[in-house]
Amino acid sequence: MQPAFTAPSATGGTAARNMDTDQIRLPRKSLGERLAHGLTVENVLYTAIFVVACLTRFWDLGSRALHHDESLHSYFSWVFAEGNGYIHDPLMHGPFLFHATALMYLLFGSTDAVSRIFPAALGVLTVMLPWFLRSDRLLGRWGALTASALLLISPSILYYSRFIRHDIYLIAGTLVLFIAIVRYLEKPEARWAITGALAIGYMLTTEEVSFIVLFVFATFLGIAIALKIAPSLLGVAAGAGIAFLATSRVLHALGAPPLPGIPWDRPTGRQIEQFAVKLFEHPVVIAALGIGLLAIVISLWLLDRKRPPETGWIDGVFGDAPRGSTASALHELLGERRGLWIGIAGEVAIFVVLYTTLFTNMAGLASGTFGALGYWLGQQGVQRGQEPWFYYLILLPQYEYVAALIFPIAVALTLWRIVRAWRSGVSPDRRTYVRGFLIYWSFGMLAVLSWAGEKMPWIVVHIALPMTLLAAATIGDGIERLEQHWCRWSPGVRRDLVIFGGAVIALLGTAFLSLAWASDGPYTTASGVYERTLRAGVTDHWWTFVYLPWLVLLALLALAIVRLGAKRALTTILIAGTLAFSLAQVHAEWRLTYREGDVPKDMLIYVQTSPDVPRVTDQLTQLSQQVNGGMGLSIWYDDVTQWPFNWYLKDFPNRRYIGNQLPSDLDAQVIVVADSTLTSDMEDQLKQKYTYQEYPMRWWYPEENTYRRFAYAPNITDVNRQNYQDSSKPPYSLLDVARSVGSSIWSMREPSEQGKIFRMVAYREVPSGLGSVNFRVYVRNDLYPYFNQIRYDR
Amino acid sequence: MEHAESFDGHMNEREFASVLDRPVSLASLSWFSAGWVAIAVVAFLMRVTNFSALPLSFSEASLASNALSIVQGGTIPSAAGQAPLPTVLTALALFLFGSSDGIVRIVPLLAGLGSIALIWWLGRWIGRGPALATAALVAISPTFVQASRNASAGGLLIFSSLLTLAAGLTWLERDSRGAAAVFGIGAALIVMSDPIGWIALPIVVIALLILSGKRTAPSRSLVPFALGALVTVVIVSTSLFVHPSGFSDFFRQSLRALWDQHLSNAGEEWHLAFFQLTIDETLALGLAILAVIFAWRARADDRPRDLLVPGLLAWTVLGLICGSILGGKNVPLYTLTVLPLTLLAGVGLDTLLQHIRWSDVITPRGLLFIIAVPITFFAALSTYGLLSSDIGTDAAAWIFTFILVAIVIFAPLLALSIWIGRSMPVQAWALVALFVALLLAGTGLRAAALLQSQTISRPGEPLTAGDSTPAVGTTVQQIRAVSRDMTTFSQDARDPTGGHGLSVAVDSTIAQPFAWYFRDFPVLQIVKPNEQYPASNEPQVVIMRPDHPTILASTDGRLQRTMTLSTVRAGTLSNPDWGSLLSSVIHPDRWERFPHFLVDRSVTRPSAPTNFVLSLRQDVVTQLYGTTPPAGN
Repeated sequence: MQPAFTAPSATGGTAARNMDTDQIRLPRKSLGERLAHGLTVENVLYTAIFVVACLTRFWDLGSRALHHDESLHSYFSWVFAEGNGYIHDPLMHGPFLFHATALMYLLFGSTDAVSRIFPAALGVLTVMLPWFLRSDRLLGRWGALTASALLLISPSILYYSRFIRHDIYLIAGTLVLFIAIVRYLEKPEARWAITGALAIGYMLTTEEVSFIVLFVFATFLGIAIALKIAPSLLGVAAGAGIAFLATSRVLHALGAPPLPGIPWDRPTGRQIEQFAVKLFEHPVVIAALGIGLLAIVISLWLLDRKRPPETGWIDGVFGDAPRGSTASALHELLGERRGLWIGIAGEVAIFVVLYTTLFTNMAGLASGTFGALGYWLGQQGVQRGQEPWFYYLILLPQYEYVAALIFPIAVALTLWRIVRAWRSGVSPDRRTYVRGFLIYWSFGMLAVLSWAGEKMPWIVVHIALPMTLLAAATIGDGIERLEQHWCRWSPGVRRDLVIFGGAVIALLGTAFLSLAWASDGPYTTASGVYERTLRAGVTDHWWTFVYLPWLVLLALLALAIVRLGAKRALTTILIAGTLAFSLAQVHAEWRLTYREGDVPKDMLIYVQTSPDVPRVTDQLTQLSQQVNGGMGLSIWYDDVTQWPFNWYLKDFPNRRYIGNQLPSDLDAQVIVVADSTLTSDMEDQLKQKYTYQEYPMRWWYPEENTYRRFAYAPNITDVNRQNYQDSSKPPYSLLDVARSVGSSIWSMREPSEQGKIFRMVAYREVPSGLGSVNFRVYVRNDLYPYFNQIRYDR
Repeated sequence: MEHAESFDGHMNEREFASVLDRPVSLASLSWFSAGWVAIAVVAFLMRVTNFSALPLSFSEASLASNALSIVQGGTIPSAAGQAPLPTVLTALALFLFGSSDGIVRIVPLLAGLGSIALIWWLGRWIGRGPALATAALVAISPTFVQASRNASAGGLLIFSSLLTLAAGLTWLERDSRGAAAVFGIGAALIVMSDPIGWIALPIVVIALLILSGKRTAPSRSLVPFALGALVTVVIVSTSLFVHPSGFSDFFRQSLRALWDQHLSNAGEEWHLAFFQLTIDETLALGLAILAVIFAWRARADDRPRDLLVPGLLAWTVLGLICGSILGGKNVPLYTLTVLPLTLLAGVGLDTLLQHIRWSDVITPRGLLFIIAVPITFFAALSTYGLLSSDIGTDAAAWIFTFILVAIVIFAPLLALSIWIGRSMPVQAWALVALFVALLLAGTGLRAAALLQSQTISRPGEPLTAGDSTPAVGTTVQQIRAVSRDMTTFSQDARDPTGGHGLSVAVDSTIAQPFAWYFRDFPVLQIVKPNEQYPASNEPQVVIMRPDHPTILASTDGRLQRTMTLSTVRAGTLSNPDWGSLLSSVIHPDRWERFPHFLVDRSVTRPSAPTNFVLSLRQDVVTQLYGTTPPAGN
């Protein structure tokens, strides 16, 4: 439509009048004009966070050795990129990672660093996504900004943003889904419905933890809906749960067999069929189906009673839900046909396209649904890692100081607001709702993941994410309060608050340094192994040396409360404490991410490929270039070393996989073989023509001497791994477990224990050597001098 | 007004504008701002390039070890109290970012970049133009660059001096309590940066009083000033109260170090301060002289009295006197003079540029002059080069070349330049001066850029005396690599990863930087030269001074290699041959030595570096060299 005339507008641009519709189109500002006049402090801060996020996520991506899992993902993505196809295997989770990484290899070549580009990009995205939660009804502007800042410096999220595993893929999708849900609740718009659906589709192509996330979200929203439309439904659900538990106990007592084991290890069709038959014949399953059906019937009956006659189900059940409630939003969603169907279509499209590998593997539809769920449910019994029930409770506070410390404060504050709202007879406001959602999400993930059989350190990011958002919301509330009232306070009050905040940070620093000094004793061998002791003479003066800064802090807080008021004092200590513990997080994450990312002195590093592997690969590359003029060095490797050497040796065309037997014609220039493969005959055979150097291939954190001693872990199927605390034997009851927890906590009153734990967390001083699986590099004797020259840089 | 939903669900009108809504208007950006950004980028690149190319020096490694002790709760030697500020700040950096050479040097790097920001602040008093010019000089000054790249080279001294000056000027101007407190903090930071700070502080205060024109401080702000100073000294010297004896240690050790390092050998190498200015700050020196000339001429013009140049000149002269008198010449001492000199040079550069009417320059005549002057200069250089060179066997060729260069090219160009210059009298000399300044800036830039060069030898560079040689780094890497392979599986609580199990003994007289680099070796020992290991208990690796061979009972079966440890100031600088120097000024055939020196730092009497001996036991030799080790030296 051509404008009839143009007229100058007040801003110097031009306005065009559409003669047909008589609408004035306002002049669009150019980017320069927007930048010149539209930049605010908030924009600048987000830009700064974005720049730092890019630097921290992308810098030096390739220096850390690829973890075993990373090597698998990288290798099969490389195979895909080389044109050899990809078939979904539940062992390696969802297909999105492989498609994305293959694309990166096609664009940038296949190196360790390129493998991690997409995770790094998603890491940056995760940091920036809280921008969408800036509304006052969600996190608030300060809350959202703080969320971005805290995600920026979260040690676990930073480390796993540079790790080619699915967890960063999933938490990015989870955060998008969370944003879509709360934004839709705030203002039902089709775009958020579509975004949410697409996020779900994407999440399902990442990893199976997505089922847990969706379960947690769905139950929260379900509870919120039920509370509004028919609280009695919650009673029905609770009753069904209790009935099922009681029924299954009775059936087990009557001799019902255990549930059939899920055939997870590449099952045949026959095995699946047999499993399905056994499952649906099982009395407990029949009881569950029956109880479930009954609960559904009762629920439908209750809802039918509630809805007005002659109204449809949707309008009848949800029509009178209060505006702005979750039920009302669901009503809008179900009425929003277009957005809903577009979203579902997109969701299905993502799922189908990726699981079928662009329609080349239709079996992927089965492996991506029943296969994935079945495999990972079956794996729960395998309990890979054999980690104890308290694994995440121990892991999270070692890294996410801010989130862990503020979590109980946030829970208390939110509960208080909810109680206050109910007592006033009003619904909690949207902000409280969001915080309640975050609390439920955090607890839900912690509970389900702690219950799950397979626990791994990378899973902690799924708990860290909601807890970090919650901490940010709480801190943001505090900053808002300060900002609102700052101008009204006298200069003296403002000065006192700044001094108090500075004193808090200084005292926390003093407390850290005091404990560092007191715990820096010599290593002795009194117990037969090297063990660090406390500094001589401090045990008798522990209160003076170590507790004094905390006592001073408490006294200062009391003084501040009296002088400045409780709210001001507590808000100040919250913000100052956050700043201080943020520095501690930087301390933890910098070493973990950039210095010793492949040295498992951290619990977050799990059975990691040692830095010797890429180092040896570099040396062999140089050797090949010297000796053969290219990459033609002949290298043999066995079945234990194939992961990660399948990846690291991929550019050597004369590499050869030899299984677990040495070929009789020993003519390789280099042989890489695991210690566990070697027999004495093989060693004798190799020693005639080769000289070797031994290295750790994968090494791990000394779990038995550290966190496993915290409490009994009867959840572990291997009874030998249930107790590292004392000499008592299994089985262990709930009371035994509680006692073991109490014993650990009680032992922490000892200065020696405090010192040990402090140095373990602050400096990663572990009490023993790292366990490892080792490998040898056998270099033919005529090449050994060259190899020596290379590795010692002579 | 924003409508905000409060925590209890009620809608409130927000009666305030959030800090987040404050506009950041890019429309206010000007060419000046762009200039500052460009300077900051250049300064950053100059300081960051090859940042950790050379290993830590003795003093840097000592500082690093003390800082790491603070972080890890170790015992800090009382000698560390002589400069608690760099130790504590380095401790903070090591706490945040882990222990590496780069992180040890990050504090002076940030201090150096922060100094440029402080110069921007000083622009309120010295003028926007002079501030920008000063910042440009600071960005490429070899002294400032070295101070920003070396952990013990006075970067913090410069920063705190500028902070004190700026805060003091603010305080005296506005009688603000906040500024008084910052002034007190800055003053405390100066004396805690380096023992030379005790000299730097009164000089800065004198300069402050001259520049501000005031003689007394406002009495009502004395308490914040005193509190700021005292609290800073207490917090920093005691490392956040964890080392209470640090307060007394600071005063005792710092003043003792001042005496031992600088006062007890007063007058020693007095000439070095002048030499260093001439060698490394030729540009600043020239521009500072120009500033004084301009100020003198302005004084004759009967304009209102301006204290800026006199104040900066007084500061420079005081700094130069102190820098000459005090012994123990090092980079922090040089900064006493270089800082005010550069400020003065900034004024000179700004004034010089103001004498140039660029609209007249960007004319055919002006452009011709700009092109003619450099070509004339290079032709003059070529002429001189011909005159000072040997005629050789082919005299005809030499004569022909001389005629071509001197008579056909140089003379007409010179005449042309003079002729054009006469038609633009006010600007000709300014443009020539600017050209010379650019030439000197080039040599200064080269000097700054090559400070950390490992491959280009510059024996006459005074700023790098005492730096560790690259041999230290390669030796350490080799030993660590061998240890990793020989002791990979020797793991315990002291060394859970293994790989650090070689027994290493280091001569206490050269403990640093090796104690820093082998800090994670549990069996590292620092041994006195008169201690001796029996043959049955020899360490696998011994690092000792060549004149301390008695650490080992016997060297049979060991491989001994002598390596360079640290650079030593050239003999030509430490003990100049004054006669030769003066005669070089007089004799034209020796004039070429000066530009050579300026560009290459080549000297007639370079000093040999200090050495250390690396002694390896047989098992280590076999691992490193196989069955055919090289001969030792």
